[in-house]
Amino acid sequence: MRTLKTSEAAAMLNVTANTLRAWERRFGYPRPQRSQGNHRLYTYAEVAALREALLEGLSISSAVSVAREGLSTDVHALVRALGAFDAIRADHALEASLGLRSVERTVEEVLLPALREIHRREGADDAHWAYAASWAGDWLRRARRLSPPPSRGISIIVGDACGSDLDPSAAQLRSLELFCMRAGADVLTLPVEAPGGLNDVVAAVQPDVVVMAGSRAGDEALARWAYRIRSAVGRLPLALFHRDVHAVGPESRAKVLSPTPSAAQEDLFALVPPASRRHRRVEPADEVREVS
Amino acid sequence: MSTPNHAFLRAVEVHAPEPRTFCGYCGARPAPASVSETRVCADCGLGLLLTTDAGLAPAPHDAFVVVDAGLSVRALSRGAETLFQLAEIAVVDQALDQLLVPADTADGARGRLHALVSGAARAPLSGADPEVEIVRPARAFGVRYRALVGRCEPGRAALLVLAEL
Repeated sequence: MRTLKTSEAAAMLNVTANTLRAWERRFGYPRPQRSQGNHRLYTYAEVAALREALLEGLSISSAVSVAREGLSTDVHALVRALGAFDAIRADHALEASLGLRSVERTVEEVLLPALREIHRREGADDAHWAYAASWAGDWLRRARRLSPPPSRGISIIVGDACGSDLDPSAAQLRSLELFCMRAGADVLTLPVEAPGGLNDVVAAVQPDVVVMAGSRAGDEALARWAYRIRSAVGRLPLALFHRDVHAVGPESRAKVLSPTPSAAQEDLFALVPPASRRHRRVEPADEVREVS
Repeated sequence: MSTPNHAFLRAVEVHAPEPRTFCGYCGARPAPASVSETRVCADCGLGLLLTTDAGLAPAPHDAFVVVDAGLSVRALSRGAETLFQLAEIAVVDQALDQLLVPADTADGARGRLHALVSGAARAPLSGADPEVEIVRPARAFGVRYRALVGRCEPGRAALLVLAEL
């Protein structure tokens, strides 16, 4: 994925760096990523699309709208491929997006919106949805396998209450797992329907934070799993993702994570005090890599 | 034989005032040399530079709306944002009817406004005087504006410069 520094993007659009930052605040576009040094990195495709739109535009707002529409073709391509039950075309649609966006943005701007569209259009009891949800779960698991080894000293246990990939929140959870792993955390996911043996899991993993995610499993199953975890590890930050708080009770002080996976990942890492993170030496090979 | 000393009526070329360039957001009028290829306003950085007839060109801080030939709102000035209490990004791509309607409630008034705006968007920049129409905000009564309507470039667009009555 080709990226531009702020000065390069500003020069391409004939504006100042301050103007570019003002557009980011006002229009949310172009939306930069951050480098390891926390500098803005603009996607070339976004800047090029905006430049084209500005040349014929009547306002910045309308040019942003045109540029966004041009880039959203990946969502339509993915929806069409999944609608035709064509996994190879669906893979190609995401690969095309990965040429323009990071893995995180590809998931949040292409994969998840395409799934929402199919779910909205076909409903949860339809073969189209079943195929799309299953393909998405598979893609996200494949992407996980390409994640770097844990490097942040953060260990997370996830209680999966989604039941299966057919639960609309399952893809959100798979995305959260992927983002946490790509950010250097060690993530272990277990279904909440299997609470036996959790003592052994906790002894092996030594989690810093526990997440319960999904709405398919009943409150009783979730409460039993949460109790077992608490009994094994004592007081630990507990978080809920795509799950109502009543399942574990308000007294649990569970943190409700943001619904978008990238924001939830940041919420989750913020729950772990820096002092409790186990320090591991980061090898160069452990740096976050792009899947391409 | 001498040539009779007739008085001739000679056709003279009428020099229409030069079109004016202005920012579609803040209304600033830049020096021609400062217009970049992407036409982003160097004053505010939040609008694109547009061109219209000199008689219609808004002054800085004026309230104005830019509409395309399909009657979709394409730009809203800072002054119009204040007037309507709406952000430009909230109304861009919406139909003009969502923002402004004729003050006249008679049958056919809306069609006449549409024809006027659509016609202005398709007319050339000519230096002619702008058309005048009385309008009101789509969701408010008791407020009326005088709208000067004329052509605006690039593309096929109409400019409505508003003044409270």
